[in-house]
Amino acid sequence: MYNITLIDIFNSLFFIYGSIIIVLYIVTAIFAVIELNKYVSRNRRFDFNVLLNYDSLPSVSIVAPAYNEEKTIIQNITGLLNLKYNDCEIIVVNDGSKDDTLAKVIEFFGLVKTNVYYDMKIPTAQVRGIYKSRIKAFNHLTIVDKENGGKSDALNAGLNLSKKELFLALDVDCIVESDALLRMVKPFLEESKRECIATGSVIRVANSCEIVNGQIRKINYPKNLWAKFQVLEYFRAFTLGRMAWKGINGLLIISGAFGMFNRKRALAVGGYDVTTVGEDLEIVVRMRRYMHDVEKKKYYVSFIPDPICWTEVPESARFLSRQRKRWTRGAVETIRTHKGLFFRPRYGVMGLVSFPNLVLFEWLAPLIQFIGFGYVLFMTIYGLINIQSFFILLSFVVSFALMYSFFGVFYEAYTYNKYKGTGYLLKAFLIAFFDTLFYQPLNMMYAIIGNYDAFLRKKIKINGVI
Amino acid sequence: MRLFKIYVRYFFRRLVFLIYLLLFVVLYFLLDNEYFSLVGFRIQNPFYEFLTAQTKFNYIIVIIAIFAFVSTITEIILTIIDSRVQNNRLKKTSEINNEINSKLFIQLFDNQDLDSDISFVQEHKRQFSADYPQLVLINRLRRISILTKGNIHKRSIRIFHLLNADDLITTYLKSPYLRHKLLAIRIISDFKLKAFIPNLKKIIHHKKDVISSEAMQAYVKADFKTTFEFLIERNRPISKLEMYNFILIAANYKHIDYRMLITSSIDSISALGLRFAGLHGIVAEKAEIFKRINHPNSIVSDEAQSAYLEMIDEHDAAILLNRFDVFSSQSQVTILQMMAEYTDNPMVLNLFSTVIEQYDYEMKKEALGILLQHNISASLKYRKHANIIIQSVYSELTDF
Repeated sequence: MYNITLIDIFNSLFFIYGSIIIVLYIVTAIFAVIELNKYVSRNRRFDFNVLLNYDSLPSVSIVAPAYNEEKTIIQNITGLLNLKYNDCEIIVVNDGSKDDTLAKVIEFFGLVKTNVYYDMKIPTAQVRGIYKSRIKAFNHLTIVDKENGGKSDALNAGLNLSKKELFLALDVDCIVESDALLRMVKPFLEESKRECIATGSVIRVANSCEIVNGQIRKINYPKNLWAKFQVLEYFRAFTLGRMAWKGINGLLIISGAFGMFNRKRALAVGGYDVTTVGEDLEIVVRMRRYMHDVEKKKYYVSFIPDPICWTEVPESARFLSRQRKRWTRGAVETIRTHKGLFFRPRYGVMGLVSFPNLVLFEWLAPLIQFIGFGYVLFMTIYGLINIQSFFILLSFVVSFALMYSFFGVFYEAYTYNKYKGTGYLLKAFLIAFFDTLFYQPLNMMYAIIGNYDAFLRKKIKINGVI
Repeated sequence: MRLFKIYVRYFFRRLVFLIYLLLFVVLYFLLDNEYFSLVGFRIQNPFYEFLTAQTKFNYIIVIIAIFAFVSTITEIILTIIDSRVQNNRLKKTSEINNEINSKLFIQLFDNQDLDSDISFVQEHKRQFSADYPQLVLINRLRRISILTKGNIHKRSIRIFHLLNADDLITTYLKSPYLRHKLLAIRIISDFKLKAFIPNLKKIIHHKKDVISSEAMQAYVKADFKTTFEFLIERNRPISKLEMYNFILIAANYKHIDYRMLITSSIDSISALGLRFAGLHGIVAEKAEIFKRINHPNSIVSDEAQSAYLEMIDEHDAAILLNRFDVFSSQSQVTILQMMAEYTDNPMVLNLFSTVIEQYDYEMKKEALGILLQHNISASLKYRKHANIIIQSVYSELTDF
């Protein structure tokens, strides 16, 4: 008869949990490779400009919230005006900036305050004015000036004012490739059996890149160490992770920096939730839920791996920690709001795979890791650990993490190869090595603090809003 | 032979990957031995003592760790090699591209007669024997033929035919690679190669939607006499992208079987039929179109309404006024625009009043905007209307 101790139970639980995570990583890599190859083969020789010849191409409203962006706002809006598309409107929402953002835009684009009626389909903070340009070339540009209400509130204001079929939520400081809209719209047209409700895209790191007139002129590998870590992280998360989830129609998040939605569906669910800081995750979950509960139609959430959107990432531990804590808090809030989805077969892939994965392996993983570290420390102090077994397991975890990170670098080089030179590759591999030993444990700590904040209801200030 | 080489490459890569995965199994059995025998040599296993001292569980973990480590090294090597190969290929291909482009442009603009085209093709084939330069030239000709009209368009097609690339296209159509198949179909499509129509008819039924879709579009381009019966035979819905492409390609086709498409049980095909009927003004199908203006699927009803509005006459005015609510907001806007000239008619004016009073902001704006342009006296009463939204619409329209 076996004598099972508490330590045996702990060991078994950690082992099972760790094994599932590893299997998940392997499955993710396999699905990502399949999806990436499929996408690249399909679109390699597709001339996206052909789409401009269609007279029925869906119209697009671009909504870009801006808060204290006086330094770059003109360049950013100019970049948006250069986007290739037949029927699109650009709505920049000045979310109560305290600097000269609005004044600069008014002056540069020759704007005047208009009497455009603001139909508050979704409640928002008070709109102070709606501005349009008298210059014909900018007649598809609208600036909304409103009281500060946070990013979600600003997006909702844009959504209220938008009139087109599709709605692109965009961080105004993102650099977007000129054919980005054409690429993003294609998934909405491609399927014959399901309705596309949203499309996301890969976000790339713009730090150290040469930017002229709101366009990337030269792609450089970042000089800043924190940005380098994030390049690798984005390869893993976007190029591998999200492509894999797209493959099984289980994608739950469209990055807040750049995502396109069916406007009718986004309005039907009441727009962005202003009570959460993870609005990009929450709205996708809510839209998916709506399709199951109300529309009862087949749908999908798409994702494109083309590097069409570039953004500046945090270059210091301080800003990185703030961002990561916010992400964790957003995940916690979404999980709380939609806890009813957990292992509910009626929600299909979302209920049985994506949402449980979000809870068990994205939200819970840092907590389990943290407990694991504590457990190992406890075992070591009390001499209960088999040092040799411990190092064998540690070497296994490190080598597996390295293999996965390097796979991200390998696959980027294989598919898009945006960063050139052996020097870059060597740096990337070095970063991948330290990513496992340093950056990921650090992110784990940020996630723990984020959880602490979320559960103790500590308020976070975002865009000036508590 | 060309196809054989493609298949060898295709399977070789997969075989290498499978063998690589087998490395795990090999390691599992190999590291359990004290010595390795390799072509007569006996090599001592450096891990033997360490591994044999481990439990079975630890042994497996070590094997996986070694496998992951070897994989990491392989990834590094592959990435460096692949990146260099890609960069070198880019350099080399851009050289070939530049050379072919400059020669082709000289040929197209400076030389005009058939003999010089023949010698140009012969010279190209002599200089480049591999498939890649042929594909570069074909692709360049393909782009030129799409973007140009007149003599240059005709010449680009003539040079393509002189290249006699049928074998290459046939091989690529049979290739296991998706990208090859798609490229071959696009070449057939853009050069409207009638000889490949039977191949396309087969490929239309391919189980992969992406291939089937390309084949359908190529078929429509290549056969201007199509009735679109292949859509009925295929019996699968079509995407919006396919629909828009068909509309673009077949804008002037004369042999479309409108009734067959409109009455299809597949809504997207029915919508295509409705669109064609509307675009081509097929009044004979008006009754079938009218039946569908209230279809439960908005894809069909929207197209039916648009098609119907394309062919209305004076007898339809009453229907438009009485059944205004049935139409989608987009069609309602079109109806209002159509009625713009008749805003002095009391029935029409009544419709405008209803829209301004009862419909949403955008519709109010459309209706009032038309009224302001065509019947200003009727619009004045909305200037200080009790409804604040109507007042806003009025001031927005008059202010800006």
